[in-house]
Amino acid sequence: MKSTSVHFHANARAALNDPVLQDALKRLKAGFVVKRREALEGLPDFPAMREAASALKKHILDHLDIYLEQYEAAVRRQGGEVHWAEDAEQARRIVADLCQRQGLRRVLKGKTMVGEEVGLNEELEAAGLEVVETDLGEYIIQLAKEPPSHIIAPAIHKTRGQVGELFSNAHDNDMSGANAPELVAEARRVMRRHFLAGEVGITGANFLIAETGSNIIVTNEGNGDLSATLPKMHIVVAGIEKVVPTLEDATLLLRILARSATGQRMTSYTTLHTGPKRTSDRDGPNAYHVVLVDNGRSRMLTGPYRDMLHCIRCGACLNHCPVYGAIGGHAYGWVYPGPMGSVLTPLITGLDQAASLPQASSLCGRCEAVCPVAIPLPRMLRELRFDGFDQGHVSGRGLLRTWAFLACRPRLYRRISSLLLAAARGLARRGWLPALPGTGAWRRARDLPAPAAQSFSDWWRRRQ
Amino acid sequence: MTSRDRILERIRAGAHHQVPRPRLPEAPAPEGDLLELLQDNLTLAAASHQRCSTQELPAAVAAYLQRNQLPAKLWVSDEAGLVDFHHPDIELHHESPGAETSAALTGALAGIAETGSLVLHSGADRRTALNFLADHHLVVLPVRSVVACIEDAWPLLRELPDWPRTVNIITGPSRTADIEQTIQMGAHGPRSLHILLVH
Ligand code: SF4
Repeated sequence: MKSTSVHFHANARAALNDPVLQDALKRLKAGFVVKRREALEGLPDFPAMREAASALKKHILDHLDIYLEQYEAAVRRQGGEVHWAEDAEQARRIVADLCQRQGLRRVLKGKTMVGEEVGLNEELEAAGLEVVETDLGEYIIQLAKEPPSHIIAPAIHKTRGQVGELFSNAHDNDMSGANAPELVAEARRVMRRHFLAGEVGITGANFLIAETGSNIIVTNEGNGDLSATLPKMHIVVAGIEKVVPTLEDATLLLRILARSATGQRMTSYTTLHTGPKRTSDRDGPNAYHVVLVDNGRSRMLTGPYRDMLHCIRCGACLNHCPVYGAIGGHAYGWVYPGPMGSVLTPLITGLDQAASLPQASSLCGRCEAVCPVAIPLPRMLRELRFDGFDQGHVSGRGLLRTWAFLACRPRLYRRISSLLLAAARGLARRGWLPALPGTGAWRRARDLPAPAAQSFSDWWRRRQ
Repeated sequence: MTSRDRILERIRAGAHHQVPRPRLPEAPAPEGDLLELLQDNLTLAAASHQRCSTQELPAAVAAYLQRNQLPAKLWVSDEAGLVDFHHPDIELHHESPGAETSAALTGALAGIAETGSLVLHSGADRRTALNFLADHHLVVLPVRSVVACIEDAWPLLRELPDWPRTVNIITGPSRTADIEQTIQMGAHGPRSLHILLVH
């Protein structure tokens, strides 16, 4: 997907002034935040599990080549095929080729964030394939032609009324004014026809198991399972960081994933798929392919952003972020929003495309506090700010340079600042400063008090 | 050099094979009666359940269909224990399920007390589609197949003659919260999940 992260400021302003979005965002707290807290209260060992999960991820990344090769061999043993994609374009091509070579046209998609990341749908549609998103949230935003605004609740920004409108336009049924149960029933009715006609199923993966060659998907609707079971071919698209050694390792991560994401102990469906259907099986696909996507991940292994590869995409950092809570997901301009997105987007799409994102944080630390794999998100955001500054992507750089120059020369600094302060005192009205030229954007949300009658250093000198 | 080689080479620049494998936390060991815990957790997951004997099973299924005003039709799995399932008032189907499948009856390899989950798998005598296409999914679980925690299910699967293509760990009916964060049952899979605990 194309990023619009460069327009972050304009996007954020529009989001703050969108009453429908603001209403939707209010529901975040009662939904995800409260449910997560309740779920973790029932898990006294959570801190120890979090530490173990983080240590496990560190071990895996340090042996990533070994586990990926083990995984690949296991998939082959089970009759599946593994494809390696270095970047988004290669990933898209591999998937499109797999479908086209078999002459398969009707594609069912389960929810996959890496699929969004590499822009799969555009490529498949351009190749003349018919792509249906089968997750209800993804289906809604597919009809609306929008990107997801949350990594686990892609249509969280849409109201019931808007969904009704979208369904009315797309289906042969008037659904305006329908309530939530009616809308879900309508989606079920329409999707059934697609499920029964689908020829290729594409899903993501929450985990890849090196031991067995399985992929695990964790869902609530059952759409991913139908997409993986009914069509002739199943294609799994997954980032290379998803591999774990054994089922026992996956179990630890499963225990913290659903609780952190939706506050469930287990989602309705936790499913392992391993290879194509066995010869004697009654159902299942005849072909099973896995596309392992790098797209910048291997580069992240060296350097300060390595821990970002621990991410299990639970969404907790979004749900607890005051900035995400104020502007929603679209303002971030790409597929990954919130704190994890503010780290991932610059790393994948380039800092020049997304230099504002690391700035969009108060560094309050809630994201790190709730992250089930203890990713130091605030530290990384700060690190990215340094990188952005060094690469010249930060506005006001000249001002900061000047300040740094003066701060290193205390005498000059004092002289100039006393001149500036005297001028400011002269401009002050009733203890407050009026708008000063060149500070417009910054001042819009802040009042600046007039400087005190004397500076601290003057006061100190006189006391001595 | 292939893409695979290049990706692995980049990974090797950052993977030094030094960080030891941590010890995983102990699997939870629930106290008290596992069957009771399973029943409580089934309820928490919005699945219904009842206990019955093997002889009572057909009548219990018939009563369930009637209670829920479902057609007297049932898509039955052919696995051992169900292949002979029979009730005079119920029309049985052994073919693939479809849009008209109102109720399906399957077995399960295990029930997990910790989470209220059922473990099902694919095979020559069963259809995974039954678990997802029916409006009502009825699952027969022998009470001796109840295990304590998720970890206990893995050895059972490893003991199977072949690793199955599909393993479904099912915890309650299908649901979605994609419309205004309100939970609705029966998104694409079953609206109701009913467990028959057989002794
Ligand atoms: S960064 Fe942590 S909290 Fe955020 S989505 Fe990833 S795992 Fe969840």
